[in-house]
Parts: sequence; structure tokens; C-alpha cells
Amino acid sequence: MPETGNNLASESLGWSLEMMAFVSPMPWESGDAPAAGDEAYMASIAFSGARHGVLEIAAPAAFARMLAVNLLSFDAGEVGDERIRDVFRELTNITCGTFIRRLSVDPGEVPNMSIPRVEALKLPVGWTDFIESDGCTLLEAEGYPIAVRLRDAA
Amino acid sequence: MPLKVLIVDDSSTIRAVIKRALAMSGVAAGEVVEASNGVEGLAALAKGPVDLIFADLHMPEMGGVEMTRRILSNPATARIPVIVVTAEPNQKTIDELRGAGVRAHIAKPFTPEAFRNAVTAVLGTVHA
Repeated sequence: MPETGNNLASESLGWSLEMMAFVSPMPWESGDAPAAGDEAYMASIAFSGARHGVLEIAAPAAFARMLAVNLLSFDAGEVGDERIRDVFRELTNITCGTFIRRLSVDPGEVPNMSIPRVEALKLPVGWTDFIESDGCTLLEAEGYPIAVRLRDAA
Repeated sequence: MPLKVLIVDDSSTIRAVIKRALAMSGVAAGEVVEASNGVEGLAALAKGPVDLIFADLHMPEMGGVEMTRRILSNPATARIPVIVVTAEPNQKTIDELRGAGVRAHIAKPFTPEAFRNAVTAVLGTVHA
């Protein structure tokens, strides 16, 4: 599962970003590990069914702020911590729903998802640990890094 | 004549995404009323009717299914179609929505075409 699951997770994230915000992420190809800026968040959601595990997405806060202002038409003054967390929460929820639907092969199985949790990453260590962790896929969207991985997947 | 639409979702992000998808879908949405859960959705309906409701499934205080049941049990609102917009992956749950009176469902992530198709399916047109 890890290889296939991680590929499916990154594809699901890309598809969700395209549908939600018309952003088409590409593999991160720059040689250096990207920095997260001043703030970064990680959203996690547990899933179960034919497979189970935790899907996690991390990105700089500036990425969610850009989505909220440029693509969802919120005023910059409206985009505070709670709005940024909401963007992360919904992106993760939608990505996991897409991921589970793609994983499903048995129509009789009963997939389930938890409520997404969002937390601020300690910088720079939390961000660096995330993007360098096993199975993490790093993408580039509108110039921002966004990372996705599966944890405890089976 | 533009449709008056009620969007019920606890995420302001998703409400914004739905509004944008509606604008791109060709659905003639005029006034858009927003609510963040089923209780607020029912309160909004008490202030005036709408042509169409888009609702999330899982929300605090009151979710989309219970809100739909209450809308259907009220003669003043029973004819308003409810379309659920959800990332819910469980097909059994989706199937149960119809039993609760939900007229259609749109899976997240969605395209503007999904809104056009769903509105056409429940209203027969994308205009009021």
C-alpha cells in the first residue's frame, strides 16, 4: 500500500486543488528543500474501510492565505488564523474523500473518515521533518510547496 | 428570473467555493443566503422562501439530513429541493439521503458542471 497509497494521495490532492481552486500542482523539482516561511500548518484526517491510516497535508500558511484571497475572493483582512485553518481542514477533507473513493474496490465496504484536525507546525523543524519523512510527496502549487503523506497506512 | 439560493455549510471556505462554482455553472443564482448549520438554515428559511438549498451533510448542532427532514415536514418549505454537497465516501450513507428526502447529491471535489447537472435534475431548468 505505501507506494500506491502515496501516489494516490498526491493525485487526490492535485485533483482536489484543481477542482476546489483551479490550482494545478506539479512535482517539486527544485533541488533545495523549500522553506515554509513564517508559519506552516499540518492537517490530518484518519480514514478506514478496505484500507486504513492517516492522511496528512502540510503547507505554509501563505499558501492557504493565497487560496483564500486570490481564488475564493475573501478580503485580505478577513483571512486570519481561523480562515487559514478552515482552508486546510476542507482541502484535507476533500482530498481524503477523493482518496478513499479511488481506493475503494469493494462496493460492500464501508469507508469512513474522521473530522480533520489542523495544527501549527513548529518551524523550521516540524516542516523539515514532515517533508523529509518517508513517503512524503512534495508538490509545487502557484510557487508554494505543499506536502502530503500517509501515516500508519495498511 | 434568478434563483434565490440557500447555502448551508459550517465551512465559510466551502460556501465560497460553492458560490464560485454556481457562478461558473450557468445556474442563474441571484440572491445567495448563507448559513453555517441546519439550525441557522431553518432560521433563514423562516425569514423567506428560497428556490433551492445546498447543504453539507455533517455540521454541528444540526446536519443536512435532519434539516431536510424538518424542511419536508413544514408545508411552507416542503417543496424546496435540497441538494447535499459532501465529501462523504460511504455510498450507503449517500443512498440513505434519498430516503430522507434529499433530491440530489454532489460529491466534493466538484465541478461547476456538477452543479448545473444537479440543478437541472431537480428543477428541470437552471432558471427560476
